[in-house]
Amino acid sequence: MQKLDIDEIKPSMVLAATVKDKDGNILFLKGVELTERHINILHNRDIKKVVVEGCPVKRENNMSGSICNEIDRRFITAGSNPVVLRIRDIIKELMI
Amino acid sequence: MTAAGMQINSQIKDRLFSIKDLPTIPAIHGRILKLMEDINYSVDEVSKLIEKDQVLSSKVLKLVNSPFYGLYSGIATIRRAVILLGSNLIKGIILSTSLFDIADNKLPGLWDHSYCCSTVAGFLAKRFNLITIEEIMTGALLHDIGKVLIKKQLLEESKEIEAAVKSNGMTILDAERMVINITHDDVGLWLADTWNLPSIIKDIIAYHHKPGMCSGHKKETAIVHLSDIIVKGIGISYSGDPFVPMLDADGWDILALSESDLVDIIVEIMEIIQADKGFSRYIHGGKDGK
Repeated sequence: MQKLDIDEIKPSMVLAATVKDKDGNILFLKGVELTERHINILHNRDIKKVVVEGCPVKRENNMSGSICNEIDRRFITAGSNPVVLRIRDIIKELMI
Repeated sequence: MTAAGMQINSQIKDRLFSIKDLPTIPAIHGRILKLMEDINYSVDEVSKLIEKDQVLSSKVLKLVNSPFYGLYSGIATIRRAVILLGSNLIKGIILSTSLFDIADNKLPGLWDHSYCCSTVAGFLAKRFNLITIEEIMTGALLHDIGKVLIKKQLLEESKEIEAAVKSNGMTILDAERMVINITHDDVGLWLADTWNLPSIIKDIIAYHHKPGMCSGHKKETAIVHLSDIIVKGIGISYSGDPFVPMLDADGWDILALSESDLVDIIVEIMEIIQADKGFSRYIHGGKDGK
């Protein structure tokens, strides 16, 4: 899962989260494979960020390591329940 | 426990719960609470009193306009906010403001953490279509009140608790257990009892770390439990320690959320946070919430 700027979105990427507009109306459900038409609509509706499946854009970001470490540190005390580990990983994936 | 240990424990309880040292509620807040004891209280009268207190007014307006609450925006008058938020939430704001002000320089960021939890819990309550949204938000606003009382009444022990959290990476709950053998959820419940708060709010305060053990308002309590974890996990606020509390597996089961629901919830919460200026100031590397 990766959060991308609208300008990074390319056809065939798959939505990992439902996209809503500013008023909370659902535009596209998760699981939709994006086409040029979808991407145009996202632009027209002024959507800035979209969460997609996988990690299609490789980033050379020095910050991501330290953000991950910081999040890991916060979760030291959270136990090893798979749900809480998933919460940790979702937050990581959305922050970097 | 040894006889000496029990003695220490009862001594600590005496100091914690000595009525004469209880945090006093400012006169104007007391007057509002008194008015609201009557279920047919006058919205005008309550609103006028709230307007006299700038800190209280700003908190009331901030909460009613919260992007998480999502129902309303652009509410500019206290009168309208009082009607929309309802008496429980107004009482919750007053009690937490009174109490947190006392501890403000001692526990920086606790109000911010409580506010964030409250709004995230409101967002989740709405998602679950619960009619108890007002009580859930109030409970979330007050879930950590026990921490304030511990800080106020047991200054030396509080320093030990903080040191244990900082140096050993203990949760505040474990550190409290180790140093004073009583935890902030139990202390908070005692305070809530003293204030005669509704049972749903008492359940949230008492079981916010273990909703599975709650025999009353399980789902409401589980929502605040999850909000606490998500808010801490994202690092939006600071409540005395930067660490995410242990997830209560039974509490999680109560909510019956799928992995896919969880992704949607966190994505949406983070989007609202990042879009909102009021929240963005809370996003930090786990330091002070200011």
